[in-house]
Amino acid sequence: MLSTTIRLLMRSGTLIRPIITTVRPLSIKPTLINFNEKRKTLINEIPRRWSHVHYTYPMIESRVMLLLRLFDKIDPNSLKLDSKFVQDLGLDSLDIVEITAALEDEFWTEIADVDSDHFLTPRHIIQYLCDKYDIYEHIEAVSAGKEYLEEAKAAADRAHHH
Amino acid sequence: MINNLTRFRVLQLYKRIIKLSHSWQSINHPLKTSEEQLYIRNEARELFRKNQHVNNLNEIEEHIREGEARIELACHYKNPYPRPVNLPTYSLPPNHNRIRFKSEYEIEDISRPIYLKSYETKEDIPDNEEQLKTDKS
Repeated sequence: MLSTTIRLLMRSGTLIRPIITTVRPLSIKPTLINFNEKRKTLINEIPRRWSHVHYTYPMIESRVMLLLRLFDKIDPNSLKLDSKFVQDLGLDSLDIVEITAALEDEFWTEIADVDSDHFLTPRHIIQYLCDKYDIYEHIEAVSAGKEYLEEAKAAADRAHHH
Repeated sequence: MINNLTRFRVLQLYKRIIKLSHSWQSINHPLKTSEEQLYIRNEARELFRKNQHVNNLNEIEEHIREGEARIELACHYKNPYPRPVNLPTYSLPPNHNRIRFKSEYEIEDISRPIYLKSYETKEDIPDNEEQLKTDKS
């Protein structure tokens, strides 16, 4: 188990504080790891603040909706996933900037101004954050293979009969 | 006409002020940090909304300059409140009993520094005759 963490660290040689996902059993003695020549730290000294947090779709959705409900210009009763900010809720572009700043604080990421232009409904925000954190359990799987197989079968039948 | 670039700059400035308010630490009055943070946020909100309907490109540029000047002054002097300014020379303080001529308003507008631009008093400037009539009645 220790060797996998060393390999993780060596592969990500440019990171100063890599995210460690393996659990270190207490029986193994702490060892010194060299990231670069200047610094040597113990594995258990490396800070891991939010790397243990597991992002899921319900968690993101509840956090985003809570944040929007706490905003004083939004009526919490009329807020739904698909309610548009500008048309239904009567918000301004300045309000959307405030919302983006609050989201940046909540999720500890940076959201570019270019991206915040496309936030028209809460669903867009949630989709953006899911893309950022690679969450796709809520998306229905569409099997493209079935239709292709049927078409191929039909073409083969036609060729066979001719 | 407001093009996308100026709109982007205005929103970027607004976001910058909000970010500044989150990391603001008051050095002169350590107990009033949250008060000053709230002041920065509310002031930005009010002034940006007050000047929402400005359409002239030059005016918008000047307002952007005003915002940046406020940010720089706040960061340099560690004080978010605007610097007080003296009245211009050859002018008297406003007094309700006294007739104020149009030239006084103009001098005041011209001599105001850029970081106080949004604090203009755009009252209706009555003509001298009308004011005399109202004073008599």
